[in-house]
Amino acid sequence: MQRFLLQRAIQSAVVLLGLSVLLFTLLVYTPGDPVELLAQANPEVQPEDVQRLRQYYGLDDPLIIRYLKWLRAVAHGDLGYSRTYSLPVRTLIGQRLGNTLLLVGTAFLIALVVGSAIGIYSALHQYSPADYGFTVFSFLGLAMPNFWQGIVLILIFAVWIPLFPAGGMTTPGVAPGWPMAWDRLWHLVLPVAVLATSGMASWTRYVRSSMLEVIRQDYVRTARAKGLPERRIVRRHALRNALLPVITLVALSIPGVLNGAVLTETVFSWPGMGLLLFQAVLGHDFNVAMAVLLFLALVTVGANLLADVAYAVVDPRIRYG
Amino acid sequence: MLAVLGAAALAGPATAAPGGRDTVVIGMAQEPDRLGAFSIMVAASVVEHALFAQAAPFTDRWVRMPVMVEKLPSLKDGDWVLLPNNKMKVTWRLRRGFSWHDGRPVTALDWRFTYGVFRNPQTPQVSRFILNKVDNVLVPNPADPYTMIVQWNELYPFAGSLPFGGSFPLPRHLLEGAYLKDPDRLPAHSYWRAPVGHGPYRFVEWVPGSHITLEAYDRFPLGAPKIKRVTFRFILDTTVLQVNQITGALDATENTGFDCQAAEQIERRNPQIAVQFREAMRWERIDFNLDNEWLRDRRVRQAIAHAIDRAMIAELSCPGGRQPVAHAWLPPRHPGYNPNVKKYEYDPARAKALLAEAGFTPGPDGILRDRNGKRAEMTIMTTAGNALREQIELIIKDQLKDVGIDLRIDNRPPSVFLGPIVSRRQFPHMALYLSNFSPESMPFVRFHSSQIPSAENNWSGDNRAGWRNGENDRIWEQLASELDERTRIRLLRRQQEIFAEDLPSLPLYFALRLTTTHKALRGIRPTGLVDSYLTWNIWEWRWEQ
Repeated sequence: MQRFLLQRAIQSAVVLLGLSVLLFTLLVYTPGDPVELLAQANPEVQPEDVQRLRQYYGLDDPLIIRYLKWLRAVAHGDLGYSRTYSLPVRTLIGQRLGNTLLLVGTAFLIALVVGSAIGIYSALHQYSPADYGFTVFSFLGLAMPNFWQGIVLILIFAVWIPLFPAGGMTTPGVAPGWPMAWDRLWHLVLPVAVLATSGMASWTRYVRSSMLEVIRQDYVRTARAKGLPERRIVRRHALRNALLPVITLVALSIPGVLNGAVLTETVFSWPGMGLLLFQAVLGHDFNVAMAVLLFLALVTVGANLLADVAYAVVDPRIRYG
Repeated sequence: MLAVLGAAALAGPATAAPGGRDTVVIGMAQEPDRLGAFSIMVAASVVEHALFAQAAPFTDRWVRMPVMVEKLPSLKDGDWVLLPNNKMKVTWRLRRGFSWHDGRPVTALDWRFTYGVFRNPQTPQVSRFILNKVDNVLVPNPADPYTMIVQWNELYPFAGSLPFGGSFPLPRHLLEGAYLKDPDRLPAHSYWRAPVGHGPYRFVEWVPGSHITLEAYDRFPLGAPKIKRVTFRFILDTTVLQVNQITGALDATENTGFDCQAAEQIERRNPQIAVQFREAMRWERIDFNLDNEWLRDRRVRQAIAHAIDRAMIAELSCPGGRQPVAHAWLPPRHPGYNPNVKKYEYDPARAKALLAEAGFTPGPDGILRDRNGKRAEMTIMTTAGNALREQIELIIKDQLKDVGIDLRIDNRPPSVFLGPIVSRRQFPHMALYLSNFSPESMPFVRFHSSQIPSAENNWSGDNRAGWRNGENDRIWEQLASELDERTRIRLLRRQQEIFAEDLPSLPLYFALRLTTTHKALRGIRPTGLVDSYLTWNIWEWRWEQ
C-alpha cells in the first residue's frame, strides 16, 4: 500500500506540473489584457501609458521567463499578488475558500443524504408511481444546466415570489451573531438548491441501481428465506453492500461539485472560489487564475487518490501491492 | 425541494427593505481593485467619489465646480500666468476646512506629496499624459499650506481645470513613511484596501466579493451628508444585478452595462425605480480601414454612409428618439459641436450613384464588381456576444446588400476584438465599436496621421482608420496648446467639417449613459461623463420624507 501511495504521489506531482505548464500557456495566450481594455475605456490613457503599464505588470516578458519566475515563487510558497484585488493571492484564497466550502459542503451533504434516501426508496419500490416520479426528477436535475436553473430560481423566488435574496452572501449592515448566521442561511438557500438538485439527481441514480443490484443477490434472498424482518434485511444486508461503490463515488464527485460551484457562484454573486476564478479569468488576473485552477487540479488529483484508497479500505477484495 | 425552499423562506428574514431610510445601497457590475490611486477599474472611481472630495468635479452641466479649491485659476484673473518659452505658472488656493477622516487637515503639502508619488516612474499611475507636462508643484509657504503653485513646462489648455491632472490628494501623514522607505512597495500598502479619505463618507468595511460600506462624515465642509450610510454591492452578472434592482434590494445602480431595454424593464417592473438617461460622450461608430483598396476612395465611404439608415439604428439601440444620430464625433451638448457638418441621409439611390462613380458595376448575382472584376465583398467586425451590435450588423448587412455590397460578419470576443483586431488594425474593412471622450479631450492620438498604429511604431496610436489629412493634422497640432477657448471651439468645429466630408469613420450615434435610482432618492444628478459617476455629489442626496 505504501509503495502504491508513493507511486501515485509521484504520478500526481508530474500531472500537476504538466497541468501548470498547460494552464500557464493557455492563460498567457488568452488575447487582450487589462491594460489594453483600460486604454479603450479611458480617454486620457496614451499609447506610452499602455507600454509603461504593460511593463510594470510584467506582461511583456517572454512566456518561458514568466513561467519559470512563477514556478520558482510557487515552489517557495508564494502564490503571487493579485493585480485586481491588490492582495496576496494566498490571502484572497483564504478569504474565499471558506465561503465555497460552506456552499459546496451544504449542497453536497443535502444531495448525498436526500439523493441516497430517494435512491433506496426507488429501488425498494421499483416501477411504482413514486419511482417513476423520482426518475423524471433525476433526469430533469441532470439535464438542467446550473446557471439556467439558478436564473429560473431567482426569477421565481426573488422576483415573482420575493422570498429570497437574488444573490450575495450577506445583507450589508446585518448585526453580528445570530442575525448574521440567519442571514447567511437565508442567502444560502437558492444557490444550495441549485447545486444540490443536480447532485441529488446523480446520487438517486447511483444508489437506486446499486441497491437494485444488491437486493437481487443470493445472500439477500437467503436472509429473506431465513425469515428476517424486511427492515433488517435492507439495513444490514442490502444497504451496507449497496453503499460500498457509492463511497468511492463520493470522492470522485468532489471535483465535479467544485466545478459546478464556478457557475453557481457567478449567477448568485456568492463570493467564493468559483466567482474568484471567473473574475480572474475575465480580468486577466493571472496569479489568481493560476492559483485557483491549480487548486481545482489538486483537488481532482487528490480525490482520485482518495477514491483508490477508499476502494482498498472498504472493500477487502481489493489489494494494492 | 420546493418544500425546503418554502420552509426556509418562512423561517428566514423578510425580504430586505430597500436599504432603509438612513442607508442607500448602490449596485455595480464590478468590484474595485483598490481605492485611492492606481486603480484600473471604473468601480473604484464610483466609490472614491464618496470617500474623497474632488478638487473640481464636472457637474451635470459639464462644467467644473470648485469643491476643494476656492476657484479655478484663469489667465484673466492673473492666477494663471504665461512665462517665456511656452512655460506657465498656475496658482491654486485651497479651500480651508477639509480634513482627513482621522481629523488631520488636508493641505497643499498633501497635494505636493501626491504629485511626487504620481510622478515617480516606480508607481503604476494609469495616465501620465498631463503629469508629463508639469515641471513641479511648489508650496510657497509651508507654515500656511493652503496655496500651491503648479509649474508647467509646456502650454496646456486645461491647466486651470485640475492642479496636475489628479482629482484629489493622498494623505501625506499616512503614506509618506512607507513611500520614502520603498516607493516600489507603495501599491501593496494596506491603505488602498481601507483608505482614510477626506470626502463626505468615511470607510467602514470592505467584504471582498460582496460589498463596501461607508458612513457619513459629519465634518465635510460642504455640509454633512443627509444619508447616514452608503453600501456599494458588487453583482457581476448583469441579469442578476437587474433582478436585484427590480426586487428593490438596491436603491441605485451605476456602471452596470444595462442597455435601454434592460433599464426600461426595471422601470416597468418596479414603479419605484426611475431610469436616468444621460447624454454622454460615448461615440458608437464604424471605423473604415483606409488602407483597403476600395475604402481608400472617399466616394465608397460616403456611399456606405448613404446606404445605411442610421436613424433606424439609433432608434433600435434606444427606442423613443432619445439617442441622437451622430454626424461627427462630438455630441450636440459639447461646445465644439458643429451642426452644419455634411450629413449623409439614408439614400440608397445616392449610394448606388457614388459606387458607380467609383467604378463599381453590377454583377450577375446582384453584387457589384470593381474595375478589375472583383466581387464587392466586405467584412464587418465587432465584439461577439453584444446582442445590440450584432443586430446592428444584420441591419447593415441587409441595407448594404440593397446597394450591391456583400457584407460578411466576423465577430470576436471583446478581449480579442478590442485587443489585437482594433489596436493593430487587423480588420480588413470595418470595425464597429465605441470610444469615450471627456469634455476636455483633445484626441490627437485618435485623429492625427502620426498616430496610425503600425509595427514600426510598435502599434501605438489610436488612429485605427488610418486617416491622413493635412488640414486635420494642422488643427490637432494647434489644439494641443491652444489656450483660447473660442479659438479651440472654432478649430474643433472646422475639424468636424473635415471629418464629416472625409468620413474616415462612419458615426452611428451617441450612446446614452444609463443609471437607475429609487424615485424617493433626491439630489442625484448624473453627469454621463467618463470618470464622473453617480456619486460625485453624494453629500447632497437625501431620502424624500
